[in-house]
Amino acid sequence: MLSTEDLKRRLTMWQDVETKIHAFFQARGFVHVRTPLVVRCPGMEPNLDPLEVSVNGEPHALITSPEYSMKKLVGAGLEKIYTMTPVFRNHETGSQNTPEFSMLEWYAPGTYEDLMNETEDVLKFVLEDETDWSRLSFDEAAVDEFGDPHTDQQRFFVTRYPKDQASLARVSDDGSYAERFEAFGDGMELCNGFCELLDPVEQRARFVQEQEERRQLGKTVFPIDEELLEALGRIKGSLYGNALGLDRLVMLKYAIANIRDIRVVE
Amino acid sequence: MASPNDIKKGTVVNRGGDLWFVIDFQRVAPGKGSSFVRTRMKHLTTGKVKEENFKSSENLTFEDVQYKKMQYLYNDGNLYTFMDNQTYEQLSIAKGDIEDAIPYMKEGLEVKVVIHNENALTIELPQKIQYTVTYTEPAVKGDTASGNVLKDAEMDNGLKVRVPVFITQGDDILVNTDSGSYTERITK
Repeated sequence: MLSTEDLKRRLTMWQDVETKIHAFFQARGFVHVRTPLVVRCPGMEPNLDPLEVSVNGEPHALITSPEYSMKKLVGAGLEKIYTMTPVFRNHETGSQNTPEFSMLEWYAPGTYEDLMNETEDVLKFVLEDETDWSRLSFDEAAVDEFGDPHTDQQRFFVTRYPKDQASLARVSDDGSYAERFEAFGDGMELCNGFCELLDPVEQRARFVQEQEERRQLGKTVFPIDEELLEALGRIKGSLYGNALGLDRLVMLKYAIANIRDIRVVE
Repeated sequence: MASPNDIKKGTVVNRGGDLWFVIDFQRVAPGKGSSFVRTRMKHLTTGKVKEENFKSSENLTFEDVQYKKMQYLYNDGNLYTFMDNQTYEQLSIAKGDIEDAIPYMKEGLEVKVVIHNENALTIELPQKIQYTVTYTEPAVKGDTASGNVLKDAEMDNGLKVRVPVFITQGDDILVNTDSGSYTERITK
């Protein structure tokens, strides 16, 4: 067990970052929401391995992100929402990855530019560092096939993803790029932000395709979240959303290289 | 054939006859896109370090290496000598083969010696090593309010580490050998 001073030191880092995030979003009129950790329909991305659990004999899984629940809340009429929650992804290990980690996720009406500006604002506010984050296009950042940028810059956004890497991001009005971006700080990928695709028909097609990919990989095939599709159909206008790794933000602020060094209890 | 998902620290990957020792790895499943393993590897003869990513679906060849627990005894400038505590057998490794580990070495430190075809190639340090703080300035009044202010400190083997202000001379601390940074204080 850590010494009392070390426990306090680590908790202070988390508390600092979490307090600033609450202050930032509440000042902008966001509602702090609570989302379930145990769900019937977890994230379907073929490369993610949700931790599967049995609840009263029924198959469930721990969330890989609060995305589905949050979009349901937007569909139910909440406009600007944020949450900080534990998420779980099996088989992720390393100095920046653990199977359990924390995510800040937020959704609001607005454009791709609005989302990038807001992300830069929250990063500056939490890090207490007014240094601008440069914006490099996907090509300028020389992103390789693994999604890793190759640039000398320390803090930057990679913007304008090619259409074939749109995932569930909207394609820009002129059709030339996907409205998706990622932020990188000190070599860590911090977040993945989207101007969200809200078409339930296309979303269903994508889920069916993901189910098939999971089947081929021999992974558990989860049911399609029908409530989510219904909720998407009720969202009007343009919605942006961002998922930011909270552990890495704490590591970035306090220059800590190993995610285990910010754990409080092993 | 082996899967990149089986890579660990200390795995030796054979890439077209060149042997690469895995210093660090991350198994990454990006939110979108296919999963992969990010590695930092050191070339076993040239010492060159490179970063390489492997798709989880790739096939790799791992070399069969042994890891032998040994204790560091001494160095004569260029050669670092280690001893097997069970058999008292000793062996020496050139400084150049363990360059990154040098600042962390201290007498009696237990390491894993990586052996391939009966040659000692390099060593693997423990993730965290315990040191005694031999020098650090006392905390300045007022600093203690925040536990996140760091100050300079020197360890019993000469290693320099930034430590929180509550650390005092004579404390035992753990240092992370990946980053050379302070991890925690040992509770006495």
